[in-house]
Amino acid sequence: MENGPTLAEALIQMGKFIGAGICMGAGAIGPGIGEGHVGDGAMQAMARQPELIGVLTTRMLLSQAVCETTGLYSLLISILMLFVL
Amino acid sequence: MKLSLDRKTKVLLVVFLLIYIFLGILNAIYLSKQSMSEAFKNVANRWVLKLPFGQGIFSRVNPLTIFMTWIIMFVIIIVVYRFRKPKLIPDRKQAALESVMDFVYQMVEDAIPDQRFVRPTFYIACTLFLFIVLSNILGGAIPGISIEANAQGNIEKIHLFSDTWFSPTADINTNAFLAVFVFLISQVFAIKSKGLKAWAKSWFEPIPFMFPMNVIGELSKPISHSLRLFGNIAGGALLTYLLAYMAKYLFLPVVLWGFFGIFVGVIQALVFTVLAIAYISSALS
Amino acid sequence: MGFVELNLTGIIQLLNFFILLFVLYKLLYKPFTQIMDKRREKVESELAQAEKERKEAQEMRKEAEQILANARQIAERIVSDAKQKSDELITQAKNQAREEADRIMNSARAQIEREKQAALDEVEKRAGEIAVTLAMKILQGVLDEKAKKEYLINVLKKGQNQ
Repeated sequence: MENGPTLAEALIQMGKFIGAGICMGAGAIGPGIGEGHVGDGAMQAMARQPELIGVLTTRMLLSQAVCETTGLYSLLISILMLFVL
Repeated sequence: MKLSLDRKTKVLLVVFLLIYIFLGILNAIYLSKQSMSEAFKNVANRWVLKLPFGQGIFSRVNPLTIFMTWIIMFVIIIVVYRFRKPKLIPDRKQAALESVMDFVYQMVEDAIPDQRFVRPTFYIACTLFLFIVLSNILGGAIPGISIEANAQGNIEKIHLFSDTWFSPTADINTNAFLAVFVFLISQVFAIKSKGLKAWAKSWFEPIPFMFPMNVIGELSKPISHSLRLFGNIAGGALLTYLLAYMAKYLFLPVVLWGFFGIFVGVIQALVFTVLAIAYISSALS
Repeated sequence: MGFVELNLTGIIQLLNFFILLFVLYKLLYKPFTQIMDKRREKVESELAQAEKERKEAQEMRKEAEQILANARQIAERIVSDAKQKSDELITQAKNQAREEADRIMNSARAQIEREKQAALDEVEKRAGEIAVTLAMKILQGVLDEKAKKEYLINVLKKGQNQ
């Protein structure tokens, strides 16, 4: 075991992976709930007024894309943890 | 939808498909040799060129971003050059371009309260939209040459058709400076529209105590604005690469390119444009 | 730190963006906004033209209606005039006819009267003569000549006075 990683390096690796996993997993909760709310509202609106489906779909996708931002921040952080740091 | 292609296009498509399958098989053989950690070792590195002058970060550029930007600008200008003399009664291609511009113009006209700034905002928003849409689609949906760099920023390997083109919007520099530009232009428009005094006063509303909050609120706009686009495109590119590696780069990528390249790319370009318009209009009102 | 590194690239990208903005302004936005303005102008001018023509047509219709009303009025007046005139003519003719008839009647009556008178005169004269001859024939033997004459003169005078 001379050429293998030392204990400190192994611990750092472990911390990176655990941190990235927790970061991505926890960060996906918020956008999931938020996008679900947006989709819920859009679906109800579409059921009430089917003639507005085109407009509502565009608006729904827009607001879902905005909701996704926090999830993407956590994705960025986990990528940084895994590959850069 | 029925496609009507002429003979030349059909031959071109068949040749492209054959080349694609051939390169895909080569890639599958090649990629199966290297392990996953080896393939993903340099995925977050960028090719960085160190200039002989300047110092610190001002001596470093990402050449790939700039080259891809030039390619996209070239494509846009070539396409637009054909329509430099628009006809009064448009044909189909001109009508498509006009409908895109009309879409952006309607959004701008609905959002901007001051009639003097509708046209300049439209120019900025439409340019942003065209540039970001094209770079997102190029970066997410079209296979091309990609460069793998090591941690120091030097070229390690050049991949041919094993990854999509590098998108300029997958570089934080492009997004951050575009977002800062939108922020600055919104403040400039606000000064022009309201006058310097009213603009300065608007930072201390509703009570002077709120000044730090207003500053933080305004400064957080370009940060979230740029990181949203960057995270989507860079993350999308990374996920595409990951999943394409898992499928040995044979057939799956088409679906992934369709989702991450075209769908997410167009929506994120739209979001960037809409938010730019919204920031400018909120600064004006 | 290549992944999220801010460096000189951003400034070059911003310059690229400005170049793109400028070129697109020259090549795309300027002609297209011009053509959109032209299109809008054309539509507006056509709308205005149509509105103008509609107004003109309405005016013409109004004018025509007025002319028609005038013509109707004139015709009515002419008809009423004619009626009046014909009424006048009829009454005139009636009057004339009545007058004529009266005149003819009168003249006829006068003639009848005259004729009657003449006939009466004739009858008187004849009757006188007959009476004289009768009386002379009767009185031939009774009276003398002188008395006869006196008597006759008296009778005649009486007849003349009557």
